Amino acid sequence: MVWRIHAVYLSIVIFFLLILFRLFYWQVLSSDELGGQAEKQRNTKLPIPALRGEIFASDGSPLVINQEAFGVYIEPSKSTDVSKSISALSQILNIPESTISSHISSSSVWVPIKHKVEEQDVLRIKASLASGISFTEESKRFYPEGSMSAHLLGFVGKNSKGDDQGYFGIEGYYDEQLRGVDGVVREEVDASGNPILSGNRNNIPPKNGRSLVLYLDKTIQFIVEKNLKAGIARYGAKGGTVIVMDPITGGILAMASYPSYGQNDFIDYPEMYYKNPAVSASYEPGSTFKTLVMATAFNERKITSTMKFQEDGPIEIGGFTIRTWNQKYHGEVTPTEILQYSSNVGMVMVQKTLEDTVFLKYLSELGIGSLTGIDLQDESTPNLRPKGMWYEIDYATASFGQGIAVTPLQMVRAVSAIANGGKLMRPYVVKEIRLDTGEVISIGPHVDRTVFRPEVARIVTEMMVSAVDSGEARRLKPPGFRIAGKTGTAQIPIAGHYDSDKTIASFVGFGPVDSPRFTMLVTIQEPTSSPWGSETAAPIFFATAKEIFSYLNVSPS
Amino acid sequence: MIRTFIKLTLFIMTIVLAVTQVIMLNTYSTSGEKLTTLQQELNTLDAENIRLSQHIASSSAIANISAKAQGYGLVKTALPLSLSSPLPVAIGHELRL
Repeated sequence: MVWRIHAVYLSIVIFFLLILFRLFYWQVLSSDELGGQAEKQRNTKLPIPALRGEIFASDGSPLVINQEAFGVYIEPSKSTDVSKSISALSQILNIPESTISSHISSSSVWVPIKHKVEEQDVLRIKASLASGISFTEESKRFYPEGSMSAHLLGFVGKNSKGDDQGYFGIEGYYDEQLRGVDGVVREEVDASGNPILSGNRNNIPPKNGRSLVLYLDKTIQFIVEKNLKAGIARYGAKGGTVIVMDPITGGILAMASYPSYGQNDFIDYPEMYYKNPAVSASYEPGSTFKTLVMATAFNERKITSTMKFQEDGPIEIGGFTIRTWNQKYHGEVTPTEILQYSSNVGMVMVQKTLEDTVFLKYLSELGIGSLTGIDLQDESTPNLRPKGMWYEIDYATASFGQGIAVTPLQMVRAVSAIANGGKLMRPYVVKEIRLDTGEVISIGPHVDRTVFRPEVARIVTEMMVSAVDSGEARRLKPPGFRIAGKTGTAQIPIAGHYDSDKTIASFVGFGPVDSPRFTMLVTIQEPTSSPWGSETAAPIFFATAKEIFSYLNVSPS
Repeated sequence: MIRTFIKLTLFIMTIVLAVTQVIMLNTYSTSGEKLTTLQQELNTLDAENIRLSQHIASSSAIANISAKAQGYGLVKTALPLSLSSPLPVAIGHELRL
């Protein structure tokens, strides 16, 4: 009898010991694991995506802003009719059904279908009542001005990790600044997912990307694009480029090239359209280069305004014959007349007053063969041959802009040095960087170096005014305005020789000369109506200049 | 006497604070839902702001204004009109210096 009492007592003790041991196991040995699971269950971590910085024109109006977009996903396990969902997505998002189906398998939990879908498409998907489809919030670039200044702005695509990344232009160059840093919210939530205010809450706010304000003037850009596009169509050209630069600050007021592309659907355009020809394509500048060679000779005091050169006929250099473009020879000519008549023979004589090393030194000083340092992705430069690779004929042809290659940006920047009294300015696209905190970082102007004396710049300016007033394009100049300029017509080198029919027609100039507000270069590639710069590039230049004067309220002199 | 008084006071304070904590936790426990609702409203307003900014930017786009201006019959000035005549050269030069 007693042993039964002891047995029951022992059973109870063992039972309670088992419970005690189990409690010890759950509350002591497994406490870390269970605590972690509980924390995971009641704590949530939400990423707060940073907004990409926006881009504004000089007047503060938006060129690139962010718009709401969505990522579309399908969860096959939650769909009551997967094929119906696929069909709805295919129709609305314009993706073949086979493409969507190929990504979905029996083991798929969550399949991304498309990123950056706009709100109206999301509403259509919701209205279709297709099941198993979910959305996440994303951000997408919106261009209020359409594809205006596409080359300058660049576009946003995806990198290998699937993150947004800027390519080309400003989006590419300033990608790190524009990107921002995502934030995160860690908080305790209840069973419904609502935050518990008295619980732990840790909030790291996002750092939105920095916004950029450009030197670009939206109105001037619009005028430039309109006139360039019309000119290319009118003259039957393959393409063209216009750059408008402020010679005092180096700020790019406008930059346009055709053919171009649309930033939102860049994938539909050939990749070769993405590169900005204004900063990466090289061309032989032709007679526009004469202004720089002339300024060089004046700066070295090798020539004066009253000096006379004898232009009686073609000139023989290194076994080659150099002629004027129209086979006309004017006898005794001054430097001003050489520019006026755009005489290749006269320019060879001017160039010969310079020593070879001095000539090459000035080419380098003017930035030929070097990157300008402009804040755009994908700038490139043709190489300037070393002295050992220059022959007598090369110096001669370089004097009238053939046998030497430049980018449009290098050319307009060099001529700006004449417009502003001799200083080679660093070109800039971005004027200000605006931080999330409100702080503003100003950029530019920056003088890279002084190339010409101010009096030399004034002399060459007057020569260029005379070239416009007395030259081939004089009838196109807006009356009453003093504009300095020079036409250029360069043959295109193909496979070691020059094509007899194809040219790059150009015009470079600035105005008003007394206080230059802009330097502009127009290049037209392979015009078919006429090969000459005076008949293709010059009309575009003057039509654009006239509108710019009107916009800037510049009165005739 | 004093010790009894202190003990009693501490006991009452403990009860009061415990009750206060329960009441406050109870009040806050439903605030999370309100916070979620407010957050959703904020997100909706933010989205609306973005949409409006987009609409304003599109409406003020220069191509849009140019097209509307032409529609209203506005034309480009053929020649600029100056409301004041230019200064004599000597005075103009003096001012520039």
